[in-house]
This record gives sequence, C-alpha cells and structure tokens, in this order.
Amino acid sequence: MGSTTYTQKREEQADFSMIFFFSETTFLVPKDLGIKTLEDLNGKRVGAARATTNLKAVEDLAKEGKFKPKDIIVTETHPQGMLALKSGKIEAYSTDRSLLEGLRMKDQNPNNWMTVPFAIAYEPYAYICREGQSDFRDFINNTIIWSIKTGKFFELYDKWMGPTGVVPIPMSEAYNNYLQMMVYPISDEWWKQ
Amino acid sequence: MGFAYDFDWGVLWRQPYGIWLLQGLWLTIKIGFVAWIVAFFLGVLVGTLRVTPWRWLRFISTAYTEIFRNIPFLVQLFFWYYAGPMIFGESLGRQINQIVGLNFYVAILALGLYTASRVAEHMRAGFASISRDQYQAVLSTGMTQYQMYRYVIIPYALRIIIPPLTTEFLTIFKNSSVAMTIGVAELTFMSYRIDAETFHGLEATTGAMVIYLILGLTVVRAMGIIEARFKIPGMIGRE
Repeated sequence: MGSTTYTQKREEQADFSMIFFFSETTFLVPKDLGIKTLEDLNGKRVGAARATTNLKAVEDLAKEGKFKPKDIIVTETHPQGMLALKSGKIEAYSTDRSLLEGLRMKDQNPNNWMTVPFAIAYEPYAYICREGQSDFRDFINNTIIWSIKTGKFFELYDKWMGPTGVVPIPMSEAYNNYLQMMVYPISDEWWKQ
Repeated sequence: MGFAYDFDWGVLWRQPYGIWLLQGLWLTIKIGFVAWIVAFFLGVLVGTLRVTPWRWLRFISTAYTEIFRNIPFLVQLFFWYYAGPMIFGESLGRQINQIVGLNFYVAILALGLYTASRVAEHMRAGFASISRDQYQAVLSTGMTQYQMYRYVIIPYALRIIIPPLTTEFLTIFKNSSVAMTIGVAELTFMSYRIDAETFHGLEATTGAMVIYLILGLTVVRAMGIIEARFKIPGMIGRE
C-alpha cells in the first residue's frame, strides 16, 4: 500500500480514493531521554523529511509556539533521518508512527529507541490517482470495500502490522469501526461489470 | 481529454511562496559566493603546488585534485555531512553535530573543496600555456621560486584562465542546488517545497529556472567586465 496523505491542496491537482488508514504524526526518540509530552521537546533539535506533511506539522506547531525546538533539521529520506538521530544531529525524528516503528525495528538496537506516547497530527491515508479518471477511482474504491467485506483487508493488516507482523501497530477501536461503517453494498462479482 | 493540470502562476508571488523563492535565492547566493572564495584560493594554491619542484607537495596536491574531482559531488556532500564529524572521534563528532546550521556550513565547505580541485586543474593548464623561457627570464632577474610564482606566474596564469574560471563560478551556483539533499533551504529546495504544499511544481520549478538563469547571466556579465579589464591582449580572444 502506498502512503499518501489526503490533503485538500493535493486534491486540487489529483484525485484520491476513499481513506483506508489513519496514521499519527509523532516522534522517534532515544529511550533514555524520557520524552513524555510535547513540552519535553523544548530546546531539542527535531528532524523530518523534506516535502512531507510531517515536516509541515512540526513547523506549524513551532510557529504557533506550542513547543520551542532548538532547530528543525530537514533530511532527504527517512533512513537519513534515522542516521541523523543516531549520530546526534537531532534528538527526535518525526514522521508517521507506522514508518517510525519500521525504522526502529530495522535498527541494530531497536530497544534504544521509542516512539513517544503522544501524536501531533493525524493523517488520513488514501491512494492517489490521476485527476478526472472516475472509472479508475471507482475500481480502487470497490477494491478497498470488497477487501474489507471479505476480510482480506484484515488478513493483510495482520500480516504486516498485527502483533507478530513486521511493524506491529495495534488497530484501534475507532479505526476498526470506521472500516466497518464505510462498507457500502457491493455485489460479489462487481468487477465483471 | 484536456491537460489534467491547472496552471496557476500566482504561486510565484502569492505569499508565503513568493518570499520563499527569494529566501532560497539569498541562501543560494551566500553559499555560492563563500564557496567560491574557498574554491578560488585553495584551487590556486593546490594548482600551483602541482607544478612546483618539491616532490612531496606535488604528490599531495595531485592526490587532492584527483580525489576531489573524481568523486560525484552528491556523494562528497553526504560524506562530509553524515560521516565527516565522525572523523574527529565520538565525543568531538557529537559536539560538531550540535552546531546549529551545520548543513549550511558543510554545504559551503564541500562545494568549496570540490570546486577547488577543478580550479586547480585550470591553474595547471594556465601554467602550461606559459612558455618555458618566461620562467627562466623571471629566475634570471634573481627572484626566488616563491617570488616567481607569487609575483609573476600566478597573476599571469590567472589572466589567461578567466574564461574557464567564469564557467566554474557559474557551476558553483548551479551545484549549490545539491545542498537541498542535506536540508539546506536554498532555491531548489524552496521550489520543491512550494510543489509539496501546493502541487504546483511546474510553476515553481519554472520560477526557479528563470531565477537561476538571471543569476547566471549576471555572473557572466560581471566576469565579462573582469575579463575585458584583465585579459592579456593576444592571449585570449581575437581582436
């Protein structure tokens, strides 16, 4: 699954499918730093990847004075953000929790790091597709709904993000309800036109 | 079916996007100028050492030139930014990583070191184009090797290589766009940032292109004036 955040600005130039996942923008920090709240990040250097909504969220929070980072460092990729974190260029790296957990699990010492218990923004994920091609968009939406209805969606979720998956992210009650509620009536063989 | 893209050139002057481009331009100019100062003086020094009679200095300067001009600039930049501080050991490296604005300084240093190797090669070409009897004529006046290079040969060579140095000066502004990859918010960075926020990348990139072009043409014009003032008649250009 691609990870494209649905935004109104992007919607002006492209189309989006239905929203099928919500991720939290949060921070990966060294465990021994004891970061519990956003205020704990005051005076720290935080990083985020260029051209991401995560970077925008961090910059907006700093601009609004919600927290006062010493500096905001922009990296090119997430692995470089991890490298910056490990080499002490930054004390916290921000992106979606799912991606941060992925970075953490790939590190030699996953237990040295933790994602903080709060989130600074919620990001709705959807598939991005070309503007004005509603047939293709219908096809994507039908596929999403069909996979939820048949349980395939949950199977895949468990494989990758379940308790024994590659990146364990517990499915919240609200998210589960959202998935169940958005299923519209769909025939079993809808792709046969 | 039409072109599935609505042009909106307004992003180039609507705030805050317009001011972003100008902020980016200012950073591009700062990086280019300071890196050029580093590249020019270091390049002249290294280029001169390559033709001096001292074997070890020749070896070191040749090694410098070949290492820096044969590794892609992007790779060098990543190396200096991510691995560079580690050269100084764990504790000092961590202190260097604490410096605010480190990526900006690293960009200037890396660009300066890289371009210096290219300036050094042009210097060597300049020295080679001065005939042997000119060197002997200088030495016969009783000047030492140092005085010969300092007062005659280097100024002489520099006046011959003004055209390739103009190209290097132009290239340094264009190469400064690579600094985007370590998070320096220069002109290209800003145009991509506008793209990320508005999805009007075509307009933002076109705006950046026009600004780079104006910057480049200004440099060409300025160097043209310097060239007209300092060229040695008969050595470069035809009347």
